[in-house]
Amino acid sequence: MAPAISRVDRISALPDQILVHILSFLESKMVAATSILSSRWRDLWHSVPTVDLDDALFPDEEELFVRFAYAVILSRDVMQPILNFRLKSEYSLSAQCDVELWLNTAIQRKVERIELSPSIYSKIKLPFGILTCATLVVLKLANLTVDSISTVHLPALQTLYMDGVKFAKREYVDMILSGCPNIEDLQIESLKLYLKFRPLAVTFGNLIHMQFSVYDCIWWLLLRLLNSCPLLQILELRKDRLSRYYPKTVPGCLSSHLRACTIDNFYGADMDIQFAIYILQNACVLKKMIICCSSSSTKRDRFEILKKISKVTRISTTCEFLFE
Amino acid sequence: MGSPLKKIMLCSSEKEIFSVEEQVMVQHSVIINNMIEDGSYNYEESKIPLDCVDSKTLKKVIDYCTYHTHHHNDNQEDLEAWDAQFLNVDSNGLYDLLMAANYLEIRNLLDLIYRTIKNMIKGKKIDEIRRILNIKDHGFTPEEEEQNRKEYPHFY
Repeated sequence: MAPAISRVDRISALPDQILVHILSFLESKMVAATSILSSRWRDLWHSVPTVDLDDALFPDEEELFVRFAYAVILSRDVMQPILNFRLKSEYSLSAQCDVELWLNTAIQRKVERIELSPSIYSKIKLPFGILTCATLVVLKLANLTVDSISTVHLPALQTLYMDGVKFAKREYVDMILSGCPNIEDLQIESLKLYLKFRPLAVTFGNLIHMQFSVYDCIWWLLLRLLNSCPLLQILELRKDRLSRYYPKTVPGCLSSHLRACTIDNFYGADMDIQFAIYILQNACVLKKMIICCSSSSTKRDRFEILKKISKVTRISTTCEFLFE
Repeated sequence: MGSPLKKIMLCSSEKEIFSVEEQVMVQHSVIINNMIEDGSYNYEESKIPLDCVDSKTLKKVIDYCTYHTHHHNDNQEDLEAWDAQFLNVDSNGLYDLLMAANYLEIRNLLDLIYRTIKNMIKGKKIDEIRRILNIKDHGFTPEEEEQNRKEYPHFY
């Protein structure tokens, strides 16, 4: 719905602070364009606390995109923080040194939110300065490679998403997770979830929401991770395979806090059903259990799954069960 | 948290009095919440003067707070549709609402207005944004404007 057109330009009369805040929701190319709207808007873009670079807006002009990125970062008012840094890139060639320079500038300007999603074909490595950025609250990474880590210290981090991130060594997942003790929302999507055999050296005392999307879900590794999240309330799991394991123990969060559990891509193999039953029989305060069948399963498969699961006695009497 | 039965009085710039459920305003407005909490509001006598908010705008602000108090459990889509309809006003109306929401510190309404203004700009050409925001005098010299048009033709 387009608002009717008014006679006076009162929006432009808003204080700088408000206009800059509004501009911070836009990606940088659009923000830069507002500098030619009128003399009122000319210099506002230098103070916008967001750098949002998307090369899809520069079709077939990769060089121009890189020049633009530098222009945005270098023309900013150096006294103003860069609170949000987002880079989305379809070109596979963006140079590592460019990306590191842009990010290091953001880190020096006290960045709170970083989102990096280069093309799946890119060879961009995670700039390691990110992993010790004390001001960082939200970190969303996709398609990067983590190829060397020394220290991870992210005391302010609350949200961590890693989607298709490749790890050069198994222990890097452990190292990253162990460096974010205050995390509240964790989402990992990866072909394989590598964790080491020993228990995590950290307790995620604030972790409430966890989403796992893995090809091969190793049951006991998942439980080991759950053991580090005593207050977890929402667990979402999407997997292809679930590996065989009969657990003897129940993580604390399951018996005291878990209130919603979703299992996506449910095939109905024995292990799948065992796992669903394990949750239903042990999650004492569960309010909602959602099972989404794999798209390849037939009506008959679904009926069989439903028959097996619905006869299980749920420990939480108020638990709602949804089957899709 | 205010009692649901109590009413408070708000007074617009035209001195029109609006009586609103206390809970509705306390939940949304940081300023009114603070007034009630620190006891500076007297239920017998007080009228909260809002000298910079006209009656038309105040009525809309109250509508917003009332709806969101009573429908906070609705699904997100329905709420968004209601919000879109609510903010289908011209940019002057939007400005008045923004000033009122800013004065009363109604954070979710402010955020909604910011995003609406963002959408008035997003993905549009300069000439179109100028028309929507009613920028008649861009303040550039004819040479500067010509230079910009030459340099960034795709933005116009």
